[in-house]
Amino acid sequence: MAQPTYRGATGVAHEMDLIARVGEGDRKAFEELYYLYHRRLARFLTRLTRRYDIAEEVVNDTFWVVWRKAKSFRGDSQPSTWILGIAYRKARNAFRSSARLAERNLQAELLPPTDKEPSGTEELRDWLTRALAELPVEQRLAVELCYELGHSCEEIATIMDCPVNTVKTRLFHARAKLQRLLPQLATPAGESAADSAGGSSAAKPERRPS
Amino acid sequence: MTDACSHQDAWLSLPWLANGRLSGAERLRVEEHVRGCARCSDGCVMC
Repeated sequence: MAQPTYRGATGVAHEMDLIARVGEGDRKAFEELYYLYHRRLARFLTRLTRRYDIAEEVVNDTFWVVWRKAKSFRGDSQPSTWILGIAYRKARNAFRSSARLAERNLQAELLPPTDKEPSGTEELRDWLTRALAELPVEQRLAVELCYELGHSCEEIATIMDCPVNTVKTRLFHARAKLQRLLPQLATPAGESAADSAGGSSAAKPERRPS
Repeated sequence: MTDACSHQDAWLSLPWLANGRLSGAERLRVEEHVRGCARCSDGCVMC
């Protein structure tokens, strides 16, 4: 039988119940919540921080807060929004306390080039990974929350503690930059991106929102 | 009958049209605009 999605009404009600039980100190409920979220959080945070050690530390910090704060969760937002919001704030703190990452000013680095020739899906994933790594971390995070985790604009605004319009603007700039970067990354060295894109207007960024 | 949706509003909403998380009324407005807008239709492919 297929597992309910985390946004399904049944799934949300079950998670609400789990959090309520965690608030009463129920370790079994905490264990179930941990297994429901650990993989999702670890993947999300690894992409965000690009460091397994920091991601794992943030996951642990996040669950520690969930354990302590579950009693005060009133269900004003969905469980996934609440938990990802905690993870986001913990990740920001981890960034700030990491001198090496702070020196990078929260900007991602390009992944090192690989020698092998990727193909098909692997090649597309490689381009996307490289392009995403070029985005400022706030834009990359918005992309992950929208496209990978399927959150609504309002949920992302809650998670990132910013106005809805800021989320839209971050996605707008991210999409424009990805449109510029993908043809370049898909072009073999020595060949111009414009040639590869056929000079298509699709490579041009949309007008900046006022 | 839905209120008209500006190109800019539609363009900014395309990521959530793509992930299926627009609310009912907003989705109808954006879809109506996208049907008549070549740039937004192209943008759906890119978003």
